[in-house]
Amino acid sequence: MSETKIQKLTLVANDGNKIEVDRQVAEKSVLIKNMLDDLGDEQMSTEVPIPNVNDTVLKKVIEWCEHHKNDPAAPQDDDSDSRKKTTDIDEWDQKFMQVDQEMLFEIILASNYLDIKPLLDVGCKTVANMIKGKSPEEIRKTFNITNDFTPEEEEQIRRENEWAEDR
Amino acid sequence: QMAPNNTTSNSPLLDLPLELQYEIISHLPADFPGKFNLRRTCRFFYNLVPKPTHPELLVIERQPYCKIRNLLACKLCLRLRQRSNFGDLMLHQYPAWGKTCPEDRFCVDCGVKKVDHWPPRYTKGSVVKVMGKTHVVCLKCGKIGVCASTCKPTVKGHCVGCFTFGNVSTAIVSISSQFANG
Repeated sequence: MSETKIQKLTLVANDGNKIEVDRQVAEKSVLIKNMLDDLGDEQMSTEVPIPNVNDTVLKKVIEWCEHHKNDPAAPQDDDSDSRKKTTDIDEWDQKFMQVDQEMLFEIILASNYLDIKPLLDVGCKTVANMIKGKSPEEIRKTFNITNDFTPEEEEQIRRENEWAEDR
Repeated sequence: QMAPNNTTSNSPLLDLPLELQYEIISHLPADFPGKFNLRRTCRFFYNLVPKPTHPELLVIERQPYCKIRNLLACKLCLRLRQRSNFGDLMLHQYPAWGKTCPEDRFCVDCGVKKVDHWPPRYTKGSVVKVMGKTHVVCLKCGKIGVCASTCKPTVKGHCVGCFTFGNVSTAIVSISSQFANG
């Protein structure tokens, strides 16, 4: 692997801002990695446009990739349930995810687009943690959800959940 | 594809693509209330998050949340219900002669009505102990209630309500006819 020279890539956010990153960091994104593999190394110096992600979000995503660049690659089997069963988040990632909700969902969308599975997991777990342990009304408040049940549906739900003390 | 909110909902969670909403739900813990409170927030999530299945409920009922609240699963209405909604014979943890194990447990309300074309499990006149008290599926009103025999041992097959407030003689006639019919 000694001939693998560290190369720089320039990512271009949708607002035109350019961010230079190490190839190793950029390759945390399976989308970029596949693109590089497909194009071959002669394309390396070119800029990589990321049309779906704005500058602030892209910087944030790159910050995460920088921190996790030496992580072992995640097992590729998609059905690994161990990943799903826990909502535990690494301490650094928890701090990283202390952003406003808009940013949180932007990160989730960006990591989905860029195909960065571990970051997508952290994002989804963070949202899951915001949901769990909350009453329906608290969840509605947190995520700005409107209660659109008809009175009949409300009654049905009340019957289904007669144990609930949070009505 | 986007969530079926034709206009912007102002809720980033509702506006996420469906696959990501599923992803988030998959991270919600299997314990209670877990994903089920999300289900109760609005129509969209009510339809997205599946209703708990009976095997799921049997796992859930063993968790502290339900233990503290005395909640048990009914196999027929697929609800968690308070212990007092079940016959005493339904409350055993392990199968035994004449007793019901958790897998077969159903609540009293489901017991007295037709479910999926099955005749009621508790037929009229059958006696069910609930919370140690003798209840009966009343021959007159068809509802389950405390058996009149707890007040007056000779009166069987009628709930206290029908015996006290109803026409007693009719009650007795119907009992005797019941006996006559074998």
